[in-house]
Amino acid sequence: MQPILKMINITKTFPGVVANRNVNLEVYHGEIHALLGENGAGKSTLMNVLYGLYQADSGEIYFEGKRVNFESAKDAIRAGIGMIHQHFMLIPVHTVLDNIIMGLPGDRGIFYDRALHRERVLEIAHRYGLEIDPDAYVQDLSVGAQQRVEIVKALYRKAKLLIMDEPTAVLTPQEVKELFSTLKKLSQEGMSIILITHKLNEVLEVADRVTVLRDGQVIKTLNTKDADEKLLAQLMVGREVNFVPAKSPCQPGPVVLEIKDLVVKNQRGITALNGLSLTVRGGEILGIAGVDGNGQTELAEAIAGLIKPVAGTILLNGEPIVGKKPRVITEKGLGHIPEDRHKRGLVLDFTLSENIILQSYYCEPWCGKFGFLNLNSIKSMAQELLEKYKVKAPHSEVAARTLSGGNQQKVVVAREISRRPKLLLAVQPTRGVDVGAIEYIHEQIIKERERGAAVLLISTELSEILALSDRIAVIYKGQIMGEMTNDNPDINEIGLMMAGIRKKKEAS
Amino acid sequence: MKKDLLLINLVVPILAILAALVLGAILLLFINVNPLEAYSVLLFGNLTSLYGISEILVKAVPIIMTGLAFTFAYRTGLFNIGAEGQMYVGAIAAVVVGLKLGHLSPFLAIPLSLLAALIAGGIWGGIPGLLKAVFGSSEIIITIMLNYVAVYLLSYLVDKPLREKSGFYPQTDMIGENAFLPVLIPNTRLHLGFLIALLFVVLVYIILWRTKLGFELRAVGLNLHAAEYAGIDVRTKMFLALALSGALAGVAGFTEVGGIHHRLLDNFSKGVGFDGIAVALLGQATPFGVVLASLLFGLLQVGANSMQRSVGVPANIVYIIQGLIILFLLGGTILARRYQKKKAKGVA
Repeated sequence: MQPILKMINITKTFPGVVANRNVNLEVYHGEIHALLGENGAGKSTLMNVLYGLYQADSGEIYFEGKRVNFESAKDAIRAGIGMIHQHFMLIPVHTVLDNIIMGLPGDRGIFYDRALHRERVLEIAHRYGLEIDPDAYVQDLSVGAQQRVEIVKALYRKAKLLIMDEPTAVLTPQEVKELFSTLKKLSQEGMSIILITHKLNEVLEVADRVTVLRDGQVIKTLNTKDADEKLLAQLMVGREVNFVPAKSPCQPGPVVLEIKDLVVKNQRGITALNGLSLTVRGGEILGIAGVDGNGQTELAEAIAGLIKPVAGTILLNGEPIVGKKPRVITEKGLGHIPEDRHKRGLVLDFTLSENIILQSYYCEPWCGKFGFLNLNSIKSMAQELLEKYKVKAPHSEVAARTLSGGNQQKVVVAREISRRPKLLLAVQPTRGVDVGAIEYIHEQIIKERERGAAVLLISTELSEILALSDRIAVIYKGQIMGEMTNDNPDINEIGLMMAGIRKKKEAS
Repeated sequence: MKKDLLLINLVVPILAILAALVLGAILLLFINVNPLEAYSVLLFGNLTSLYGISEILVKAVPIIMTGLAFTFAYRTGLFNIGAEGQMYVGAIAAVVVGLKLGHLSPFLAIPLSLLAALIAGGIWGGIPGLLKAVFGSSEIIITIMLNYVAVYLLSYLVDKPLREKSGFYPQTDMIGENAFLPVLIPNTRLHLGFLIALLFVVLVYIILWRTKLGFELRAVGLNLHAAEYAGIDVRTKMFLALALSGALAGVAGFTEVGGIHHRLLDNFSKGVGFDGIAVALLGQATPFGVVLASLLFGLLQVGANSMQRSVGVPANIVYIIQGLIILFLLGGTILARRYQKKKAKGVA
């Protein structure tokens, strides 16, 4: 069979970096082809080359048998390639229909024939079982529905090849399932799909074939029926990977964190936490599962003293900490791996040393009498910590900005853990981090539990919650929907709770 | 990474200066002046005599101080556009001390008027700092507006309450001679203020990069959210940064009064506060860069007068060149950043 897309010997270099080296990729008609690789493996670069956003240094691209050379995304769209970005390119205040037809040539001069478009859009949506309401405003739609709008938008532009960049990152397990069945249906209708991902289970579940990229090179292309998680991980990382970190049985100690009826309003004045209660004991990991944007950020910031709750109590080792300053709470034993290392966790233009002392710069021995910093001892301590926590960096005096995401995160983890906190608040600790670093960070979190620290893990990656937690609580619209021990938990039930549906009647 | 830093910190400013000079040369051609002749006077005319060099340094002194003032706030992520006004109130305070206590020993009179200038400038910078910390008001707007308040306050003072006894000119009497800043080299105007300015250069460097306070200020400047996370009281630091920035600009008023004018004159500064912004940007907001850039501006401004005298070119052409330097610098910095970003992209 003639492949719909053939990329031959694509090389793309940026000054100092080879992002793609002699990459070959073939995608067949009606195939779901996964592009698997860690962050920085060159997946996005390759797709940006295909989509006309970058020009390759060398190599050829054939689409439907014809040699093509896309100068811009416009050319690629015209040829029949659609790309759905991780962050949707929709205008929230416009309707679904407006978003879909936006950018198309007008029907009567500069005017659109809305009724005609509406009909055609609905027709396409029906054909592929994509349920959308053309008159709804995008801002009122769930993330899954917005994604469907993006897909319809691409289909409406007569896409024959659909590129999906990490499409499941923002979805609940149910939405993921729905998406996958849509993708399968699309492929049966002859649509070719490239799925960019770093999640192994997704590849195995939905893709027909998979191409593994590592360091900008194709490691292997194989049929998914010949593959399993272990093999794929090995190809992707280049060595064997432990998925579920070894963990001794949980031995909970005294209560370290107790939250009662916490109410928090976010910056826009909207209630983000609505009477949330939970407790975490020493030596246990409580995992908070949930879809992004259900109050996770506010929960973490309230515990860390970065926003002031409207009502409720937070006790850290029995002491109330509501209304206390962040530094006071830190000194009472909070270690906080923040959700966004670029926003909160690091000063990117500070050196690694400076970032490492960010929470303790004012204490002896880093700061002497009269407020002078002790640069030499800071430097040697930082160097030691970087080695101990296996951060890949030339030395401690480079700017944090120059490190990869995984190594930046390791710096944050090293800083927070080295202070031996009583409560470790880990929020999305492995977001945007490569598999090697994920494994390492997970080990460190478990080590903290083993040491006796209480760990509150907030993550939107259900696999992470399942791998690490002793107990699992699900957060939805600022409340805990339910809680269970992580002992053969019912994933379906967790998924339903993440979507706000309580399956069983419970007496919580 | 080292190479990248070099690009922005050194190559871009030098190219900006050269480009501004080239464009300035074209302007000179339009008014039928031989640019080479004009530039030889502008750039080198004052380097051949000790007096010429000393004049360059004299001009540079207040610019160094206002440049440090801008740098200090800038490192905390704030724009202090009010160095001009802060310098004026610094000058007022220094003159008042010089008039009342100028008869004391110089070892008392000089430090006291310096202290007065620091405090006055600090208050003038502290007002926008306080408003920023409490209400989140824009320090840019408030510092700009306070410039006018200071300028007209000075006008009023020399017109009425502090007018010289003879009452002829709108200016104060001479301050006591013991409050004069001693001349460093005989037969020049180079005064102790130059050394004081250099002392502040070192001091600012030490505060920003060697102390706890500097760590906090730079953390606030580079990432407010991370600073907050690290338990730094962002509002207090912003107030402190603007107050200290104002104090530094106040010193410029002190050096001009004590070293040059020895009295308060209406409109004694010709935009030194704004030159400070330019030199801070040109010097990449580093204290030592500020010194180099101030020396360049001193050279241009002194050279402009020589050029006017010997070649007949209006001295104002220099202000055009200064403006062009900043435009090219900002443009060049953006281009260099974009180039670096492009280079860094694709790793993702």
